Amino acid sequence: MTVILRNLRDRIAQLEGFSPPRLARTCPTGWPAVDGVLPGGGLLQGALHEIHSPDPADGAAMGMACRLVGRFLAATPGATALWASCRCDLFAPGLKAARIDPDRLVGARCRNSDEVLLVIEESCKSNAIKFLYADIGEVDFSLSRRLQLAAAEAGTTLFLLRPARFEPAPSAAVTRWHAESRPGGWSLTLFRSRGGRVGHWPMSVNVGECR
Amino acid sequence: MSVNVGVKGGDGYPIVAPKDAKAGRRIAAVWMRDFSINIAFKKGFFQRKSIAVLFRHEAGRDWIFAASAGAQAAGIAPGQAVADARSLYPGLAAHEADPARDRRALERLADWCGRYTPWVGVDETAGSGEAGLFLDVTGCAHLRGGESGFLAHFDRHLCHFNLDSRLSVAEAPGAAWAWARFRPPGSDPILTAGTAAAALGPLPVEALRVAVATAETLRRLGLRTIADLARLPRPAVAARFGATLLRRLDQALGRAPESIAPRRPPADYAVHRDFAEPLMVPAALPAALARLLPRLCRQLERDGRGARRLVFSLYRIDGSAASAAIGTSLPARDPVHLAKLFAPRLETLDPDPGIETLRLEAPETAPFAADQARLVAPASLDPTAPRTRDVALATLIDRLVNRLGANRVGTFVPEALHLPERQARFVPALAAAANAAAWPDAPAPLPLRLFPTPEPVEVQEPAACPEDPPLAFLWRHRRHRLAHAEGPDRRLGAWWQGERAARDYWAAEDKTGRRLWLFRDLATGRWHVHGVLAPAGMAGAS
Repeated sequence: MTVILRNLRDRIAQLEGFSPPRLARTCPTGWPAVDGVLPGGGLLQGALHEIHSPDPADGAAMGMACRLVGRFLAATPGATALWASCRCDLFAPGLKAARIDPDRLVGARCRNSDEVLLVIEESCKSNAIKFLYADIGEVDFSLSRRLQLAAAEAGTTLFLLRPARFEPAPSAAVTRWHAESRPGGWSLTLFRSRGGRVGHWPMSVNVGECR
Repeated sequence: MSVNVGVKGGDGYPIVAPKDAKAGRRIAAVWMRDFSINIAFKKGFFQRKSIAVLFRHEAGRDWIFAASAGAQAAGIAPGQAVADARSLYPGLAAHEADPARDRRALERLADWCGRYTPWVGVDETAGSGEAGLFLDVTGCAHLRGGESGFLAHFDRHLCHFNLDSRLSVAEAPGAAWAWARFRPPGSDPILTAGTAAAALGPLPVEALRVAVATAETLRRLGLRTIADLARLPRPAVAARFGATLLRRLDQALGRAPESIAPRRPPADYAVHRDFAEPLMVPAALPAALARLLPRLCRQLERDGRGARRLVFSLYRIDGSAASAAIGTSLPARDPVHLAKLFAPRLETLDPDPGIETLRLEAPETAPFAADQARLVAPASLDPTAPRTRDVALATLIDRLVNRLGANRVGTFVPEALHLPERQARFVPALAAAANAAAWPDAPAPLPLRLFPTPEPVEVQEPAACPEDPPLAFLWRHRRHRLAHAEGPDRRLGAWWQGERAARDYWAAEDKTGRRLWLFRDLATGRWHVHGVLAPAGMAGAS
């Protein structure tokens, strides 16, 4: 019975454009409490993830994306990451603190979100980019599914930084996060996780610790 | 990227339909009477100003093919046997003629003439030892100060090449040809529109580009000038001499159209390779290209340029040609990268029945930024390094640059400057994995986002000490109350370059936990937000 159920789950996952959870590669985020909630003990690689930010002047979402990309880059020798945005504001010297080697980062300065999408899709097609994070505005469900399929096929881990909405539109992203600065630290909310539980974690100033 | 494969005209260039004869064309003709001799002098076969001849070996004897001006003055003329000429002038210098070499020199000159106009044709009717070119200078001559300016410029260069030449400009190739060779001494080399018929009338019938035998027959019949011939009824001329003579007459007088086959504009960077044995198998093409590419890339490197477009042409033994072209959106000069781009194109090239010459040229080049060398250089120095990723990445960047535009895709390079906006340079290329110049360690917290221009804030509650960040300020229509701030991090502009900026930077956290990169302009005392930092404790976590 369990075998049948497991096979059915795998089949459904494949139909939806995911590799079966057992076979999928995950990479820990480095926050033990968060990794404990994520299926497979880490963030699914070759998948679409969304990080919502309450306000462009809040560095939490950007900091989280940089930190995860830096961590994954360090764990994947020879991989290259790409940053795409309509805002030409990435500060390369600041990436060092996030442990991203700027030499392993390609930047794409786009004029509009169509160009951002184009960069994402071309990067997935080329197989040259392992991690990609991009500023993007609204993404509807079918577009998010397209991106998720492209990411799964290419094995590229995509992070979309999106402005937070009161009621976020549905999305095919594997995980959806909300990162926000808090006095003396920041808070992280996982409000959607495919095949896993959601959670909320206030992050203290004490590096990487969860209160 | 584009591929064009096609069979070209006899001399390797497409023949185009003649232009409208009434369109007011202006054709320049060049006549180089002593071309073969001039080339032989240039090649150093003879002493300067010597009495010299070129000969061809035929029917067991050496026949003079071309004679230098000095030899002609001594009574030596083409068509004589070298032995007979020696009896006239025992010290005669003689060398075997090489029409193929002369032809190559003429082709090179024709390529060179591409600086004036792309429409350059080789005169195929020039006699032995002579050479001629046609240039369609319609609408081009004004660039050189009109037709007389153009002729002066052209003549000066031909003199510089040690080529004895006579030039003319007329409405039709035939008229220009005749006027270059047979115009009376002292007359204007330029035949203005509508004057050709009157000017050419008194010229001898040889000026019509007809065979020597035809000209002799005409003379025997008392038809010495073009005007004599033009007066005859056309059907009679056609019946007696054939259609060719009438066509030549019409071409000279501008009544019949005549086209000039265009040449491609010469590429500044080109390499070629001739094969003693024709290349027959398609599988040999990649190897042949792999030998040409480094040579071309060295030429590009010498001038600090990279190729934007490359054309690989093959010339077959039957006189046909084919070519494949690639384009790069980044100036490129890595042979391996370029070979990869060519690889799928080579399959479209058919060597049959055999390739005599391969030519690789870069018709479009662009300055190759020094930063770009980092793109591929370290990888290409190390042949064992995995290169597939580099190429995939370079290809991706090529494609993205194509879609987004130059300077939109690239990588970040550290600069030894202190103003944040000058610390990182965005270079339109891809940095190598091993970067020599390391990023400096930051003594103070740095932002992840840096605004292209600092945004001034409205101070609502200044600090007790004006050097400290304001306790409350308005920025982006929002009030920020300071919780605490780290600083100052003093940064000075490149004063040695005349940059006077001096700023004190603070990593300021407001009461909501947002961290902003504030600075005070030391000259004005005003506060600005220049960037956004990650929340406290996040960036350093691992």
